[in-house]
Amino acid sequence: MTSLEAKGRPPLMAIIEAVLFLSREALSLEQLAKICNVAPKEIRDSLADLRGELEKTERGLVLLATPQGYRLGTKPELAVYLKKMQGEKSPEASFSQAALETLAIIALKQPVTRVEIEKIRGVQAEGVLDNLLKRGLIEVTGRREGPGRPLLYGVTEEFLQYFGLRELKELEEELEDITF
Amino acid sequence: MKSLTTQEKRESRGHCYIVLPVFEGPFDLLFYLVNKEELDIHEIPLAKITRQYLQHLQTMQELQVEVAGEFLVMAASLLRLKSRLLLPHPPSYLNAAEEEEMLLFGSKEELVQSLLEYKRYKEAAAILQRRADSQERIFLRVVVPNHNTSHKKLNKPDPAGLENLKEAWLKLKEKNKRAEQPPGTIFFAPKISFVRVLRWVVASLRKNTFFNSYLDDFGTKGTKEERVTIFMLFLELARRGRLSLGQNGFFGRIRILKPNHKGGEES
Repeated sequence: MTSLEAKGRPPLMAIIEAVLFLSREALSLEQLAKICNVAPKEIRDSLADLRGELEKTERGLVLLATPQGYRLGTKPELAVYLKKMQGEKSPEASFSQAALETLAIIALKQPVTRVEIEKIRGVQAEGVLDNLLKRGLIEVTGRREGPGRPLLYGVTEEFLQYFGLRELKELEEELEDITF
Repeated sequence: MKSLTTQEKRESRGHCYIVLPVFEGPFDLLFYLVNKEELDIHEIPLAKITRQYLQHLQTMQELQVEVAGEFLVMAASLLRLKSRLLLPHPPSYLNAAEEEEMLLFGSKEELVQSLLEYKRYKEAAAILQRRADSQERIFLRVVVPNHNTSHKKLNKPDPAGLENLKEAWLKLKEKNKRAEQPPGTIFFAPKISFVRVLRWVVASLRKNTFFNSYLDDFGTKGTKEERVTIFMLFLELARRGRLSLGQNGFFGRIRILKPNHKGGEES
């Protein structure tokens, strides 16, 4: 029972759904709290409810958590119908296995040097790193102290956005889930 | 290793396709062999895996697939490790430290560790792949450039009173006036003729009045076109050898000098 409901207002979940439906960009907890005029804590609870509600198969939307905040998207399994309406999404150049493995190493081990990446994969990484830098998915975060002061790499916010991650921890958790 | 996608499998039905697995690197190949033989990474039988690995490299060579150096480093590392397990004391003539550096791992534990680590990142890469795929199938409301604003303006114009109209009219008038002001923008014929100025300068040159004066003294009061015309003219005269131009150091003022004057500015 939220404070708004207590006053006979519509349920907070409904308000949040409507606000996110209309918004063309992600909204943070704080922004939502301000719009709905409740505490962020209440927003968080209602978002969890909304996520659960939307998970029902008869619902077409999905609640997405991005680094910038929350937004609504359409469910991936509906893409085939939506493509008819919107036309093909501009095809993003897909990733090579080498690029994905390199990204995975950087994401889980960052900050990490080129040599460390090469040691894990047993393959030279220079070209892949250049490519990922150009695509803005990784960045140079500094230099390691010590001989040669090699560059350190880390993933960017674009990386999180691209893979639909709110934070890196999500990737680690997902990895734990399949390992154990 | 790239496995067949369902699409490729479907396409291959009825046709003869040979699909060669593509390995991203030595660990990828080793990992593939471990999986194929359903071996436990922790209890990896070194002799068996080394034999398999070398066999695979040989097949690659037979198929005339170029084997990258990295695969050979792995082969060397495996063989070295195997031989060390057979010989309790490595021959002393080997420069151990130098060799270690080239190898991918020094002990079986290290090999197991490397394989486990590689497996972890491979799994993470698969998660990323899956996420990228599903992310690509999620549609979002997107900002269509200007669509929203123009729509709003067309349907619901801001209430415009007499004041707004007057203001708009004055602004428009002011704008037109400003546009008119320097006559000689592209709408007007230039008021200066290259040939006319040329004649004037050539006449002055005969009287030597220009020499030793600075180039930027000319046409300062004129419009942009006049200045450009005069500048071009002096360049043209210099090219024809009717005068020469000298300068004292970088960014110094340019002085007009007598023809064939050697060196910079005379002081």
